[in-house]
Amino acid sequence: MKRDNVIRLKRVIDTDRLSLTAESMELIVNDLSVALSDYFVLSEAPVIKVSPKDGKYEIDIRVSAEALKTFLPVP
Amino acid sequence: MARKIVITSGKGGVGKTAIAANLGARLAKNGKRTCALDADFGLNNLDVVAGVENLVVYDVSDCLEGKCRAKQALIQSPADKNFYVLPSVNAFLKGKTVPDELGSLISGLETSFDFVLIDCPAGVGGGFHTAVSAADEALVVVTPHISSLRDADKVLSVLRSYSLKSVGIIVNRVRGDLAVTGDVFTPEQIETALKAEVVGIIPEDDSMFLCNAGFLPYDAPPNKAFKILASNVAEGKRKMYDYASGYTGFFGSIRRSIKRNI
Repeated sequence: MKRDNVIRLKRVIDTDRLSLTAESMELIVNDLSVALSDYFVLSEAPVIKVSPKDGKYEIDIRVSAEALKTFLPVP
Repeated sequence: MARKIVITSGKGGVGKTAIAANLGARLAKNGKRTCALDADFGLNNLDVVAGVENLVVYDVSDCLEGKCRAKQALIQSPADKNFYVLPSVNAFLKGKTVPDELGSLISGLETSFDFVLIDCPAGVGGGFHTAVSAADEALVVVTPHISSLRDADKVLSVLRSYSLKSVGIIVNRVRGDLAVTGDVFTPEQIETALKAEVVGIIPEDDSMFLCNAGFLPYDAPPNKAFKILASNVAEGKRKMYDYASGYTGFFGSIRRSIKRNI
């Protein structure tokens, strides 16, 4: 098959395999915000990008914080 | 005990029924007692493809309703004494869904056959799940087109949630002339894209439309392809039909050119 069609098939299948709906993504963002807020003062909600790569998934999480929270680990 | 194999696909019209019938006939010719069961209740055609539509007395729905025993509904194919068809002719009138009792019916056939091939409805609806639940193995039929492959990938992902012993792909309607020039997907590319093993390649050929299952001409390319497929399924071999044969080299280019211009 011509290379552009092979790439097209791969793209179609990869997109289908990535079955994260907008609601699922929102749930992950909320959970991440809660977890990270224990340690940082977040300035914005995390941004997550999930993309298929070589049969696996690459997950990029981008988040910025205004300050680090002071905490001491329990001895 | 019979090996119960569901013949399925994502997209409709890829040749599930034709493959179920012809594979069944070929397994039977190899001495394996084989039953092909039509679980495609809405769009049943197994009886027609197998050429036994005039022999139907009872069908699957009669068995499920207790009107007859499974052995009374079985039709011996004229293609081979070892090949039987269990049609679903009247099922459409009684409801399009595949009842859960289908599994029990198939289990009842296990001791009488070496292979039970279940012709599954297309898609991933209730009928698909009932048919797959009754099987131990699955063969997913695809054609070398993006729409078919995309749907097959979804079916394969659903099949992975079942505890099946094996899941293989049959690539149907392969045109050797277009495959060698890279105009359609090759079985090798399909295997890579779907991440599942190709167990059979069936070439595109008019004889598939013109002949009843089990009556393919001796020299027809699909006849050889089904012979190889049956051997792969029954004995676990992985020999493949050479779809590129005759289409490579100088004379192959002439043959491709003629085929394109016909």
